[in-house]
Amino acid sequence: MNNTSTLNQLLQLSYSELSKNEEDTLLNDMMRNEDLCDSYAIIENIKTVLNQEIHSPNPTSIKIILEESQRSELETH
Amino acid sequence: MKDQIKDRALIKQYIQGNEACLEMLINKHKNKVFTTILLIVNDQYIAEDLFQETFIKVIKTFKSGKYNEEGKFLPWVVRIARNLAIDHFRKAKRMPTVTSQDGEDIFRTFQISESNREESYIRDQRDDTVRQIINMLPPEQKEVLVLRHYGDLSFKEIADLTDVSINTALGRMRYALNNMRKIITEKSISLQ
Repeated sequence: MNNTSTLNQLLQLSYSELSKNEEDTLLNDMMRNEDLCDSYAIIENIKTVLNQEIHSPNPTSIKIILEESQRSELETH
Repeated sequence: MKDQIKDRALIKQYIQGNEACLEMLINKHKNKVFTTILLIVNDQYIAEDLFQETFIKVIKTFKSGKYNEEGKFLPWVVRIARNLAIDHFRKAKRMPTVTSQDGEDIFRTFQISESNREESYIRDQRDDTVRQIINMLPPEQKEVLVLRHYGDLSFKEIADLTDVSINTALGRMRYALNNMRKIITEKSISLQ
């Protein structure tokens, strides 16, 4: 397994995209390889930074959507 | 998986006439959908419009009975939002802009002068560092990062959507994270 595909797998592990078998194999590799653990920690750190960037829509937008839903409900009846 | 079942139950209830389930569904996913749109279009007002358009399209699909239950709800909504954002940019390109003598878009100037100083101050405060760093990434890296992290699309789904291999999508994500890390280190940005 080359380095790039291992790094790709670390990304997939981080986003829970690996199968159980793939996950177990990679976790075993990580236990024997400190560099892999460091790379995984870097991914998780950047994800923590990304989690700071969360925005909410204006409540008016949600009100408009719900009104639109009720209007279309009335039209169908 | 449990989460998908919950979404499916809410959608089923909504289609059967329980309006409250739509509100629950929107409240559950609104921040991820809105952040994804905002990071794509980079404009609060356009993002609000596209957010509304996206969910109105969702409602229409539910009510027409065309919703495919097999897929996951959030990635499906994000795909609709992305398509609407692309349409928006296409239309905006075609729309002529009226510029003032100094070359500034007159409608843009009008918008800014309409809002008072306090509002623009709050907007500046919100324009936070993380978004600035994300916007410094090359577009293809930013797209994968936004769709994977905020839009909840899998790397395979992103690969299919952007017409590249899964390895390319994964590679772009790796570069995006590396570049973010470099920018944070180089600029000594504190993100605590």
